[in-house]
Amino acid sequence: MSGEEPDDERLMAVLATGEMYPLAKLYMRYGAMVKEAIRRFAPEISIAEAEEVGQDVFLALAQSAGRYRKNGVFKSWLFGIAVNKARRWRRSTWVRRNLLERHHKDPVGIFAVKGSTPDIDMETRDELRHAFKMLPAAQREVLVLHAVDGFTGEEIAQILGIKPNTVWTRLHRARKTMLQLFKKEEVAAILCKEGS
Amino acid sequence: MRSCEMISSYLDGRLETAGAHEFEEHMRDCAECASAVEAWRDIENRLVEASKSEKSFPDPSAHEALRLVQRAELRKKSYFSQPHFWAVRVTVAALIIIAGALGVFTGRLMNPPAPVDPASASAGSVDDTLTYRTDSNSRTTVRLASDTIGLGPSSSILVTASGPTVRLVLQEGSVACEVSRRTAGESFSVETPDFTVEVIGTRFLVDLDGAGEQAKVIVSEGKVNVRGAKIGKHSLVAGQVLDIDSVLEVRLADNEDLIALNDLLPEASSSQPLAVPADESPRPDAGEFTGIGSAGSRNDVAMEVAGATPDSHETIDSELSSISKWREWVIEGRLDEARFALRDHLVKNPADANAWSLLADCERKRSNWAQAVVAYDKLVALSKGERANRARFKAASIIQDRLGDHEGAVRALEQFLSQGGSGTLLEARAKVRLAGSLMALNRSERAREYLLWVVDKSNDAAMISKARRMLEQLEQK
Repeated sequence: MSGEEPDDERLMAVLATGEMYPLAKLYMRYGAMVKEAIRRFAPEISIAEAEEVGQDVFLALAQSAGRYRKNGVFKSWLFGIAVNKARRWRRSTWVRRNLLERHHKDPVGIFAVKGSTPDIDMETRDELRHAFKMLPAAQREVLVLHAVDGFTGEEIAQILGIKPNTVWTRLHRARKTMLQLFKKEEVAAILCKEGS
Repeated sequence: MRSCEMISSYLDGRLETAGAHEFEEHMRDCAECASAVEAWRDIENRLVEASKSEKSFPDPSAHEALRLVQRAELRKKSYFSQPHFWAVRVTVAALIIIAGALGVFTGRLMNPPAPVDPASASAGSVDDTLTYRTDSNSRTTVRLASDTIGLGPSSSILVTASGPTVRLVLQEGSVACEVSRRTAGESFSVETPDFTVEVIGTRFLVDLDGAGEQAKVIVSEGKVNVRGAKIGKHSLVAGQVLDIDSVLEVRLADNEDLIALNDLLPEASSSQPLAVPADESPRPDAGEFTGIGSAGSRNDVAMEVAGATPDSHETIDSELSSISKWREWVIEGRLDEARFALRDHLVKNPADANAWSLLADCERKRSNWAQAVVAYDKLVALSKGERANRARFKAASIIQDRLGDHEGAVRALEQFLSQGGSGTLLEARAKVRLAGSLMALNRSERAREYLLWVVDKSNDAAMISKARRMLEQLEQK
């Protein structure tokens, strides 16, 4: 009876009372998953920074526990915080790179995406990661939440705070961009027959 | 052609089963769609594979999880802006508390022992007496032969070691000890001017505030005995805390206590293994056992908290009564579950004083003050003697401090005094509290009577000086 682990909802309910111990269980349960997700949302982030941002996600979770409502899935709530933290990290990095360290500007970084389409060899994982980095952030978020983390459209809409239709539009664009990056223009064209 | 337009919805997974079938049928005839789906699935699969195979982060350990909890606690208490909020709290307490309860103590403070370089300490040699002091920003760890002593900030301790017999005299501040098992004839004790803590293989912390009115003993492993002329004798087991405060209370350790203890014994998880073999460590009696297992590694506290030792949990659990299990839940912070279980239990067993006591604890932890008072009232009705007195006093303190109901506090405190509280250690405190509420209600005459009694009849120095100050306030009015 006591060997039974309290589920996420119960832990969140206790966390909302100001008792911080449930955070330990949630962190052990989801810590690694959240940090991996942050690396996908912000592929340029270093391991150490992702570790730090990941911990921030859980600290923010503790602070927001009072606002948590059991209307969706706990994981969506957690990923919503993770997406926001990753965006904040990207913004701060953007300021640092583009305004403070202009001379370090990376020609193929995510910020230099539009227009140039460098050759990508599909064969190696590095190239895949490179293509992934070049995807605009909004498209990348939707793509990983859908393809890698397995969320439904409604859940993604909840995580990102957007309409479900916007999710599908972004997902469609993400596919198109990825196919173009992999030089599969003709396939991208088939996808586009649908319009949008 | 219409079917070709379904390709995105199909890839999205948005199509109903029938729609998906229809599109799959369509793909048999439409090479374009089939190749597009295949091309995309290929990219998607590579993406998923790359993500899944790239595991850069291991699951956080119990220790890391506890550190995060500590950070969250710090953030919650952001008004303690320094990282060692606990040290700050002790210092603050030192400013508020009035000296006097421990006369001896003040004398010792006047002539503090000279600081000694900890490096010169030789472990466990015959009749070594050494003094260690820390200032307000520092802490230190002292290793004797098989024991580890962590000294908190603003602390001073006298260590006398004669072989395996170790005697610590804590003069101020706090000390946490991790002690190897003692056999007959050997002993490890911590003395303060007011009480002595005797140890049989354990991990615990003794904390005195600066002026010595408040003190606490926190035990995270094993068992200790606390004895003192004023406080009597108390046995504490793992997970218990003895608060020597306005109320003498044995309660459950909360996370602040455990953080305080872990703070002073930081190497607990990495240094030499615990001298007490897990299976030999003292097993508390089921009746008084309160949770955190004494068996297992030194890092028990962190492990248990994070629920990383479900196995040991279960074995202990099967032998424990439900009450002990619920106590464990309270310690783990599963307050809602514990409250639910306790209320459920009390519906069937309304006369279970232990359950009411635990429920009161639970409600107090959740700051449900009114509910806590109700539970204490039940406890009063079901118990007698010292236990009933303490419950009455605690309920009255909550009514006064938390609910701000002075009328209610006066009634509760007068009842406490008439029902057996007179002649106890708490009498002077109750009367000072009574006077406080009476003053708030502008009933100065009655307040004066109580204060004069405290000044004339009590031997509680701290309360006497408080009563004097309150009398002065009355005069000024």
